[in-house]
Amino acid sequence: MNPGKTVLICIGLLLLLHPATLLAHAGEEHDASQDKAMQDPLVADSIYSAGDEASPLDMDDPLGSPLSRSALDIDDEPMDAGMPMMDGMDHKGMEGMDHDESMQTVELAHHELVSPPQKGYNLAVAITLLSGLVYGVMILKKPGE
Amino acid sequence: MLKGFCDTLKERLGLQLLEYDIEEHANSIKYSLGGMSISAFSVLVISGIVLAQFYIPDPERANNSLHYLTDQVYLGWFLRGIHFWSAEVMTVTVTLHVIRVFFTASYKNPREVNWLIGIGLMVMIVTLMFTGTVIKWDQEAYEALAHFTWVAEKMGIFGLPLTEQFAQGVPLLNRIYMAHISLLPIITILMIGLHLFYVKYHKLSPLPDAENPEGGKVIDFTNHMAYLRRAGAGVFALICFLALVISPPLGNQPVLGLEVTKPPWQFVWIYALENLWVPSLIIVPPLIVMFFAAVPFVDQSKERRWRKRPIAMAALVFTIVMFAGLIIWGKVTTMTHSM
Repeated sequence: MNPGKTVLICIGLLLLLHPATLLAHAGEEHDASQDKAMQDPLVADSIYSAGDEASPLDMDDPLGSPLSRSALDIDDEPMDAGMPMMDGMDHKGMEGMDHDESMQTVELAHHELVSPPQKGYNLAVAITLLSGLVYGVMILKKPGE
Repeated sequence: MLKGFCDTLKERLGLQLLEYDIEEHANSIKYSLGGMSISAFSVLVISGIVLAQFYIPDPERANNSLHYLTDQVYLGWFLRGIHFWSAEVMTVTVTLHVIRVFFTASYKNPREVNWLIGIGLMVMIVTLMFTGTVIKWDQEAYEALAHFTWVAEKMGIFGLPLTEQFAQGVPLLNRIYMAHISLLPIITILMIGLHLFYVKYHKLSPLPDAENPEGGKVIDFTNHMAYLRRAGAGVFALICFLALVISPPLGNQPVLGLEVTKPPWQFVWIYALENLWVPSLIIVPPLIVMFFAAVPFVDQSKERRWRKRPIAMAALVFTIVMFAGLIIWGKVTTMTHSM
């Protein structure tokens, strides 16, 4: 492998797997109890609350999430109302959101490892294996080249 | 019989126009990064079309609709992962493509216009990523939009079309969603077409060290397309693997008025600059675009070998180190201001 190709691959891996890709994102972790507290009015008004199927917010999961994911990092401490406020921020266009200002608690969202209980996980594994297999065959056979 | 059918189909569709010669080095990773970016973009478009079927562009429901997709819809989490990781992979391949073009001086005469189109494409990609971040409508999205509207308002009349005041009563989220799924992709696809047209028109840039730039080995373009298909299959397999293993972050509905998150790594460098000096948000992005756009007009020498271009190489290294440093700094630093 020539040096140029090696450098390109190294930079690619560095960019793709840089810690920031795993840690820089933030927001709230999907927490069912907090969902209920913050979003009951929304759920009641949502098309997703209609019908027999349980809302994702109503699912009773001992792990706290219907996805049962395991966290990749530990950077998920709750950030509370003591954090900086955007005083100059104009909330126009966001008035429709019915938030309880007394519950200003935010948990940082982050990348999470996917776990098998997800809907369609086996099919996703099959799709991934198939795509890898196709790529492997193309490397070996080099069709059209 | 099959060959006859294929020949007829080729003739009817005009596919014989693709049978032209290009230089052999086209079939290498570093000269196929643009093609890989297009592969990732194609996955983005297709997955985005399916995602759009489940998304509700309403501030009250947008975030819930995404949680519903990832939690309740069969393969919804995988679909969103594919969309997210396509964007991440495309960021990497586009960045490497730009570095390769600069390193091999492919922006020089007669390819200045295509360099400018490439810069425009980078701006479109950044804008698509920004709008994609906003429409998931969690805390990170809200804060990104807060910064955006702050900048738009500071721009006065020029920023007016980007503010709520321009179309009162219409949530900004709706307009950003419209831009993300229609306006920006259409412009991007047109620009990609133009970019490819000029690659064809000016031909693939020769290797910098080539003794005779016009007399190298050639291959059929269809051969290069087969190589790109293989590279695209690899890109798709990588995207599927990443989507299968790591799910993208998705918070809950934002708490208005708080500023507690940091942007995605593609934007975190400007977070670091903002911490130094808030007006950086307004001034730095256009300065960077102008800096990149000026490259082929400032560097007009014929020299293409990197060893003979010390100033250009120093500028390249400085730019990479600066962005990497700002990204790391933005990650570790804490906010020292509020808007």
